[in-house]
Amino acid sequence: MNCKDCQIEIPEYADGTTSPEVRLALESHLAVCDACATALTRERSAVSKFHSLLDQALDQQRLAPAARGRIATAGGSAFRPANPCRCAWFAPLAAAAALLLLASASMIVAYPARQTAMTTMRHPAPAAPSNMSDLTNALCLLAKTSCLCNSSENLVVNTARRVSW
Amino acid sequence: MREDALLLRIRDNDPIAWNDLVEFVGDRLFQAACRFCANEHDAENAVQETFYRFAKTLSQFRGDSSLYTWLYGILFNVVRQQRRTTSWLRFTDTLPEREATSPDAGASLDSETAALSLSDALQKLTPEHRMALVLRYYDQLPVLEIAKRLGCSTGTVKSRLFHARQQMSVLVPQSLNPFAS
Repeated sequence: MNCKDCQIEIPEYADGTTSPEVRLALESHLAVCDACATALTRERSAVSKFHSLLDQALDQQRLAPAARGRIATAGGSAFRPANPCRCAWFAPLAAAAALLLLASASMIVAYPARQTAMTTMRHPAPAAPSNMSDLTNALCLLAKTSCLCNSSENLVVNTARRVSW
Repeated sequence: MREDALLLRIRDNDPIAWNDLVEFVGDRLFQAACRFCANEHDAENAVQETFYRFAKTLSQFRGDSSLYTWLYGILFNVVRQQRRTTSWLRFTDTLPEREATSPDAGASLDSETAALSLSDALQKLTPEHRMALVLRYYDQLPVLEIAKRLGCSTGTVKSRLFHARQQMSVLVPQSLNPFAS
């Protein structure tokens, strides 16, 4: 390890988070290099010096009066207080919408099943064509029993192909 | 306690509360911004953007940390984003005129001059080097934490710190340099 590598590693070494390999190499170098050993000492003392000097330099820094007004205006104009009126009507409306959605969904689910059951009772299911796959057969059967329309067979075959792709 | 009362007034949309908030914490934030920014103009803009964002996200502030800590976090992000999006001025052009300090005149300088010398030198660093240096030696953060905050690797942080210290040793008279023996 040379002096530059050592001094790059010094902050992390001071933190105690260096890897064991780097620490070993660094300590070997520090044992023989006075300049780097001094740099390590400086690293530890620099914090308090830097902090106090910078505090002293910036202690007198104050926001200009014009800037204060501008900043307060920026904050005030961006702030939107919570509106209790909006909250008051929003909750019941959301609940009503949710109920409506639930009712619609249950009707959509229940209606085809009921239609299928009624149709099956009136018309027995026709035999499926033998040259189709199991999936196509099943879909074709379902279409015929539910829609009572032979022309839907082509649509079903195409759909089954797409599904199989 | 004063913070709580102030926040309550802000939430109640008291028109004077924002002025009081700026009075309460504005100067401290401005000083923090000055540590990170190249000049006072950028620092003022950063503080203004901080207050703007604070106003937008006030509902998220639960009081787990102090108001200043919360605002400092916003300020840090503002400064980081400014660094990415704006072309920073050349710092040497915008620094106020001060008496030149040569390395061999260092012995006769008092601590106030040392402080100003350090502050000037800090402003001459690149934003990346300055932020790394301030986070390390002012905020006293470990390298790993600095890397997280700056969104870079620990290797990058160590390299920036090394080069920043090197530059400081050139810019600040040796007798006043906190990184000199």
